[in-house]
Parts: sequence; structure tokens; C-alpha cells
Amino acid sequence: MSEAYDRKLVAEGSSPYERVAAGMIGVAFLLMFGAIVALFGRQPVDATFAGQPLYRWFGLGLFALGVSTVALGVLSRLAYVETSPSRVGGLFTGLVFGSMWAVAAGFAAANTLGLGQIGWYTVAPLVGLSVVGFSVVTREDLSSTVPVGLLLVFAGGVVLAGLLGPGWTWSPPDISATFPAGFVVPLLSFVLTLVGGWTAGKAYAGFGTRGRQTGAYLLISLVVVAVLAVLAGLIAFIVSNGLGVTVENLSVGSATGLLVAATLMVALASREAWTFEFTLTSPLALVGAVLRVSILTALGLLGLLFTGVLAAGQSVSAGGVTVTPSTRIGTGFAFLAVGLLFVLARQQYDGIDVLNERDALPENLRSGLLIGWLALAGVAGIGLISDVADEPIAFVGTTLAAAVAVVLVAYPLVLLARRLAAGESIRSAAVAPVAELRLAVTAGLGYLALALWITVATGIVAVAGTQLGPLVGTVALATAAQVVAVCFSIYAVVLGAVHVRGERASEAREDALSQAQLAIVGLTGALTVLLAHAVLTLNELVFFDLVTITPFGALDWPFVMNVSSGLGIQPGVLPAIVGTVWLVVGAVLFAVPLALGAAVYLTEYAEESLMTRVVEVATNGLWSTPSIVFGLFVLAFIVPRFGNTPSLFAGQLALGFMLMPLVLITSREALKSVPDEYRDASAALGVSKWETIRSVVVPAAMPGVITGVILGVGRIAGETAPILLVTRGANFPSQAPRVLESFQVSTSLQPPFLHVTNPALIERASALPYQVYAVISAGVGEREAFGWGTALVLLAVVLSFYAIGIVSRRYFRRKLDQ
Amino acid sequence: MTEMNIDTATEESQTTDTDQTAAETTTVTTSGESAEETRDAWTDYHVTGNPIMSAEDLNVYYGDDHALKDISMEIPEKSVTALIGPSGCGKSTYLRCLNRMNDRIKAARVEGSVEFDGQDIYQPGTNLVELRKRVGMVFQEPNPFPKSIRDNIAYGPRKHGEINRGLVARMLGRDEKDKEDELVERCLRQAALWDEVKDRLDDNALGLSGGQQQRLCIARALATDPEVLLMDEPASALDPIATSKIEDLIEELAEDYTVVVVTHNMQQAARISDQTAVFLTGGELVEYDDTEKIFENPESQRVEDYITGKFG
Repeated sequence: MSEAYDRKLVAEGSSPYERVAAGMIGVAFLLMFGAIVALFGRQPVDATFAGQPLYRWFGLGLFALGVSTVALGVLSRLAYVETSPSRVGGLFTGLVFGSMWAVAAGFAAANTLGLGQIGWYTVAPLVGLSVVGFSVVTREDLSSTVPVGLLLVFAGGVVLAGLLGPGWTWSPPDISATFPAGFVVPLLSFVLTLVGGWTAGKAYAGFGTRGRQTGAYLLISLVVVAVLAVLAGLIAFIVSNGLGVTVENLSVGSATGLLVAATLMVALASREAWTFEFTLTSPLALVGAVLRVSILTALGLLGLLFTGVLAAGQSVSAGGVTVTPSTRIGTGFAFLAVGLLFVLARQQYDGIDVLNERDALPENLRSGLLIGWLALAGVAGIGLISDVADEPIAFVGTTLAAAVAVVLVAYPLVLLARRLAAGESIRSAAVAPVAELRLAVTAGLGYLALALWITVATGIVAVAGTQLGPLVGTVALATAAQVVAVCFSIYAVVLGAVHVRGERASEAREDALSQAQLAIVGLTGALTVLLAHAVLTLNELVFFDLVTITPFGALDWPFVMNVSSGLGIQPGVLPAIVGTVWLVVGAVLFAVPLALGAAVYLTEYAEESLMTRVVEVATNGLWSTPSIVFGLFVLAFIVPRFGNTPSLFAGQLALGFMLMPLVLITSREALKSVPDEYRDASAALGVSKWETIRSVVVPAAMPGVITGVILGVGRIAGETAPILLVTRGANFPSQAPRVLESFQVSTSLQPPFLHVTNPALIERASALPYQVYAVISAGVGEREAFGWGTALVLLAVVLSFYAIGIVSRRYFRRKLDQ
Repeated sequence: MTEMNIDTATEESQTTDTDQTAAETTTVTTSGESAEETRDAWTDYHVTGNPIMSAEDLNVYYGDDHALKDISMEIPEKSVTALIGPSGCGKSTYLRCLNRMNDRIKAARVEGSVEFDGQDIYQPGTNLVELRKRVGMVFQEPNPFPKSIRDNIAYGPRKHGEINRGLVARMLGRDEKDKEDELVERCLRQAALWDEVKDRLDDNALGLSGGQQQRLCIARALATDPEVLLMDEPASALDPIATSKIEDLIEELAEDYTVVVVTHNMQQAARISDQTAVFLTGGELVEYDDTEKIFENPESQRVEDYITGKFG
């Protein structure tokens, strides 16, 4: 029987029906949001909000939702609105509503009417079945709205009337838990509004196929929003609880802060998307634009703050954070700034390949310089190892290297000066000595680094440079020459680039920009060498009495940088951070090559046989093994063989064993997804199988492999159980593991002739998850906020590992499909 | 009377016998063609000049399936040979035998011999790397590597050690970048792609259109300086304009290289090839002759049916 509907093809505007449905959707979203906030914020259910206790708002919302749902259904059934419902309601919706009604009726019968178990066994199925029957028999618009609507009305009414209000608890007879109203009401609202929103979506689109589509879409969106909200709530929870203790007593030097803020601003502002692209095509684009502008503004304000403090010479503090007018910059931050500058220069100027084409330097000169470098390094190295005549060799070596660096750098400047003296314009004079400038920058850097290395390696510069006046002077001269040359060339080239006109303008400009990039690279290289020297010699570098570069001490962040100074005093998690970093690095270095190699073998070389299937099953089993089992395994087999003590190394192995299956599985998938066409094409060109794998298959699979590593690192960075067993350091360790400094190389006359050991790896260490556990188990003696702060730091550390992984994955993806 | 009847009967039976030997048998093969004996003479094409590749009693089995039956044919150098036939008749299988790509299929078994430059490539101890350098292949679907255009073309020569771009070489300034640039330009010009991509050699090859990608694959195959170029339906995945560009390219390439093209497009075979080999269902080579002869006056009835479209 088909009833004739007057269906128009295009609806004119939105009818009141649709507006009511849309309003219902909005109310559903609000209620869901409120429910999540109530659940997380643990707001008591009788806290007032605009004059009414919270639970009344929930009840009101539910009631209103229910009434409008029923109204929408009835209006549609009585044909007051044009809708296109199907003939019968679906069995699925019937079952869902039936079971909801069964549960509700069972509760009501058992608790409120006091029928107990009998109520459950009789009333619940009865009600449920009748609802199912109703849904199946009536038309879709009634069957999908009336049961839900009535349930909402029922629930809303119960809450409004205070039957489910504050003071209400439910203690089920068999379980020893109690569920207070503050938990039940938001949860109930959450579930009911989910269903109500779904129904509203169906009604909005007029039921039928379109309605079900809209309803499904809305349901999925609601669930996704809920999941995101829960995630955001979790993170906000950790941040709000842990931030206070994390930034306690943090003091930032203004010079350091200014450097960081300025570098970030330059980096961000140089991207067009951040400063010029504001296409507001969609709400998401608007949000993005607002975010970008606010970040830039915040950085700018910070910069102003730091400048102000520097100028005023006064400290400023707020909320535990202090900004001091210190002019010291740590090498770490300087490295970051220099590195960022280098990356920017590379990205903005398309590469110095243009210069390669005009490189007319004879090969002999290049080879000669390289051989000279190797000879100096070799002689100095021999002198060091053989302990013969340390100082004279250091003196000669450093002077020679520095002298060559100065000559190399001076040469293009001399050429430039001669051309200018001969009357050439700056533009042509600057662009001409291309090859010489390139040699100056690259070879000059090499010799400068060599000079500095010799001074460091002979250990002579350890003491504040007093003994070695002449050496320091030579090196300083070389460095200064490098910096000056590079700065001058930047100046000349930029000046030249700006004034270029005429036919060959674009080409000349490209030349000039490439040279400027080369110069910037040289500048950053020189600065990097200087900073490395400061780090290795632990000496300070003072520039013009204004700014000091120090190896340490530019930023004082006690929580992250200090060890914990005992219970109750300043908490610090540096040992735990260092421990976690080393554990993850060690695990990745151990697991990734092995897993990638195994994946390559299984995918490319092994045939599909019983063995490969067994390996797959075993790998999946390993991946699902609880982490404590890995800990036990390492405790039983590895620990006794490595000093019979819990150690960092054992922890690295345990985490590595955990990481391996995941990387193996994801690498296999990534390798399998590389299309066979590439392998065929490579074979047809006569390239051997291994070369094909190395140059085509593995690079194409890298993004997948890195995804696996990222996922795995996220898991193992937070594992506590293995660390508890095999690494367990002190609860509040007094120093961080010093792995880099503890490498020892010794030679002996007996095999093995070369020994490389690292005692720091065989010591106990702490890690961040373990630190959280230690704080909790310290119980009353330690602040709870310490634990939250550690958790926040753990989150930050894991996120930075993710960031590294995502950046490297983007790099590989861009190489694959630029 | 009876004698005369007997005589007539004998005469009639004699006539019937003659008819039968002269005419084709009336049995019909599974694909609907009327089977005829394949005459050796039809496939015995006399190559003028140097036969650069020749197959002798080549049989290929995929498991139990006899895919190619006793193929013997010679391929003359510096010309275009087309292999045509309906789907599944073994022409791609035959093509893959010529550079031993069938080795990569586990179920394939090859019997017989294929001679290249006077030597059997199926004898044990054959240097596959050298073979595939000298016998290049272009596939049906364009399959450039996910690298830059330059890297795609220089891939083969780099791997074979002809161009040295290693780290040490770059440090010492013995970088062979000029050699590589020259090679890339030469190959792209030969593939008629230089003008279109000369400004973006470092862009990813996957960003090119289908026709450009196929020409890039041809350029890549030319980079190893082969003597023979095998093309497996090179234009079947492309639009008509790209197809005609590829066909022009094949004609140009035939002046310097030997080209063997598999195609299911008969008009294409008629346009571009100098000689044509017709494979029919079951993996048999039915006729192999000059292209004009095949298309205007084929010996075999089956070939004529196929070409005129009565089946296939």
C-alpha cells in the first residue's frame, strides 16, 4: 500500500519542524558536553548553575528532549509535516529501545516498587518485548521516536522530581560498590542524549533512507566528539594538577628567553601560511587562522616582556615563574637557534646547486686540501695516542690548521677587494668568486674545527685558557676571520641582489641568493663550531661584554633539571628523564634494525611456508605478551650475565624485546604494501635483488616503518613493570645516569684488542613511569602533586618522541611523493 | 549395372578423399577457430641481416598449463617486431622469456633455448645483470620509481657503477654529475620527453601524467644503453594522443635499437612494425612474416579470421 506523499524535490528553506529537530540536536550536544564535564570535574550534582542545581538542568534537558522527540514523531505520523519514513520501523532500533526500556523498567520495578528480583524477571522482559513489538509494527517515524521520547521523559521526570537527586545512591546487593547520583545522573544523560541526538538527526532529515543516513552521521560525530572530549579532559586534568609543581621556582634568563622567542617568531613568520595566508573558507580554517595569530601574538608579547626585563634590569615573577635580567645564553639554546637558522636558509633558497655548475676550481686543489686535513689530523692523533710531545704537536697542529683556515677565508675577500678596487660594481664583484667562497666556507670550516678539536683533545684548554695564549689567539683569529668573511659576503650579495635589473635579473638574483644561502650556512657552521668548542671545553665565550655563551646555567628549571633534594623539599625528575631517554634510545637502537632486517627477510626472501606462518603467529603472541613477562625474562637471563645487578642496559633490552614485535609487524605490512611493479622495474634494469631492496623497497616502506616505531615508542616509554624488575634505581635518585661521559676505550695486548665499555649502562637507573610509582608508594611523605608533575613530564617526553618520529616520517613521505 | 555402380561409388569415394586432404578439417577448437595444421613454413621467416635474438623450440609451462608450444622465431636487429594475438595466447610470456623475467614467477618452467648475440641465455652461469642491461623492458602500466625524474633515469647506471655519485667522490670533487646530466638529457631527448620536463628534473616522477610516465619508463630503459627493447603493450593504458606519441617514438627508436612490441591492437601493429608474429590461443605461433604480408595476404585461415575480426 503506498500512500501518496507530496514530495517536493527541493525543500524551500527550513521548516519549523527542521528547526525544532536542529534545536534538539543542539540540546543533545550541550547535555553531552555537560555530562562529560560533570563526570570529569566531579562537580557535585547539587552545585548551582544559573540559579538551579545542576541536576535540575539535566532533568530539564532530558524532559525537553523527550517531549520534542515524541512531538516530532507524532507530527510526522499525523502527516502535518512532509517526511519520508519507511513502512515499518527497523528491528535494530526496536531491539535497542526495547533493551533500554527493559533495563529502565527492571530498575523501577526492582528498586522503586520494591519487587526485587521478581521485578527483574517479570516486568523487564514484558516491557522490553512490548517495546520491540511496537517498534516493528508501527511506521518508522513513530517507532523510532516514541519509545526514546517516552524514555527521556521518564528519566527527565524522575530527575526533575528529585527521585534521582542528590543524596541518592545505589548499592546493588551483590557488589560492594555504591554509585552516587553525582555519577549516575551525568552518565544517564550521556547515554540518553546520544540516543536522543541520533533520533533527532533522523527526524531532521525526514526519516527514511535520508533520515537514517543523517542519524548515523550524527551518532558518529557525537561519539567522536565524546572521545575527543574525554582525551582532552584527561590531558587537561593532568596539566592542571601537574603544572603547578612543574614550574615551581622556574627562572628564565631574559637573554635566553629573548633568543628562543625571537627565533621561533622568525621561523614561524617566514612561513607564508602563518603570516599571509588567511583564507577563511571554512570554520576549521577560521579556527586555524585564529590559532596562528594568537601564537604569533603570544610570542611577540613574550619577546616584549623579555626585552623589558633586560632593559629594566629587574626580575619579574608570577605563579612560581621568575624572569631574570641575565645576559647568559646556554649553548643548548644557541645550538637550537643556529640550527633553525640553517634549516630556514636551506628551505628558502633552493639549494646551492646553482653554484656547483660554475665551480672551476682544479681538482688538485680540492684533493690537496683534503689530504692536508687528513695528514694534520692523523699526525695530531698519533701524537695523542702515543703520548709523545703533546704540547708541541698541539701547538703546531693548531697553528697550521688555523692558518690554513684564515688563508682560505681571506682569499675570496682579497679577490673581492681587488675587483672593487678595479672599479667593478658590488653586484658583479660579489657574485664572481663563487668557487672560492664555497671553498672558503666548507674547507675553512673543516680546518677551523680541526684546530679547535686538537686543542680540546689534548685536554690542554680545560683550564680557562691561561696556559695557551698563542693557541687561543690563533683559533680566535681563524674564527673571527670566518665570521667576518661570511658576514661581509652576505652583505655584498644581498646588496647586489637588491639592485639587479635587466634581462638576466632573475638568474643573477638566483645566483646571489644561492650565495647568500651558502654564506648563511657558513655562518651557522662557524657558530656551531664555536658552540661545540664551548660545550667540549666547558669554557665561556663572551661577546662584546654584552652576551655570554655558557655551557650551562642559562635556564634554571628545578623540576626538570635537578635531582630531587629529599622528601618534601624541591622535587626534581632529571634522573628519571635521562633514564627514560636512554631506555628508549637503547631499545630503539636494539630493536629497529633487528626487526626491520627480519621483516625484509620474511617479506622478500622467505617463501610463504610453514616457517613464515609460525613466525607470524609467534610475533603476534610476543606483541600481546604482558610487559612484566618480558621483565621476568630479562631478569632471569640477562641480569645475571651483566653484573648480576639491575641495570640500565637490562631495561633497554627488556623494552627492546617489547618493541621488536610491533616494528616487525608494521614493517612487514609496509614492505608488503610496496607495489611489485617497482621490484619488476628494477629487475628489468638488471639491478640485483639486494640493491633493489636497499634503494627502492625500503625507502618506499619507511613511512610505515616509522609509524610502527612511533607507536612502539609510545608504548614502551610508559612501561613500568619491566623497569620495576630489571632497572629499579633509587626511588629518589641523587644523580642522573651519565652515559655519554662514561664511554671507555682501552687497548690491550690480548684479544680482544679493543675494549669499549660503559659502566654507566650497568648501573641502576630510574625512569619516569617508575618515578611516578615511587611517588605514589612514598605515600603520605611526598606531595601528590609531585606525581602529577612527573606524569606531565612523561607526557611531554613521549610527545617529543612522537614529534621526532612524525618529522622524520614527513621527510620520507615528501621524498616519496613531492 | 552393378559394376557401374561400384565404379561410380569408388570414384565418388576417391573424390571425397581428395577433398578431405585438400580442405580444412571440420573440427572446431575450444575457442571457436577451425583448427588447421600449423605449417612450419608459415613461421619460418627469413631474417635479412643479423638475427639478434632467436628462440629455438621454446616451451613454457605454468605448473601443468602449457603456455607456449614449440616457439622458434628469429628477431632481426634494428627493426620493430610486433607480437599480436588474442588475450592469453602467450605473447607476454614469450616476451618475458627474452630477458628471463619469467624466472621471477615461481610456477614457470622454461624449456628450449633463446639465443642472444650468439649465446644461449638459458644456459647455467648466464650473467643476468648483463643480460638485462642489454635487453631492456617497458611494462604495460607505467611504473616509475617514487623518486625524482633524474633519479629514475640515473638509477640503472648508478647501480651498475657507470656513474659514481658516492660521498667520497663528492668530497674529492670527482663527482660525475656532468656525466649524469648528460645521460639524463640524452635519454629524455630520445624518449621525446626532454622539453616537457627539463625544468623539473628534481620533481617526483609520480607527478607526471600517464603518457609522460610511460615515456619516462622508456627513457629509464634506454639509460642502460640496451641493444634490444622489449615493450609489453606500452600504450594500452594510455589515451589516443599519448598512444600516438609512443608509436612515433617506437618508430624513431627502431633506427638505433631492436624493438619487440606486444600489442593487442592490430591497427597499431600494422602501423608501426616491420614484421609481425601472430600467436593464437594455446600458445602457438601460427604465422610470422613481413607486416604487409600478414595484414594483406596471410597464409593461415585462422590468422585471417583473427585479423578481420571473426573472432578474438
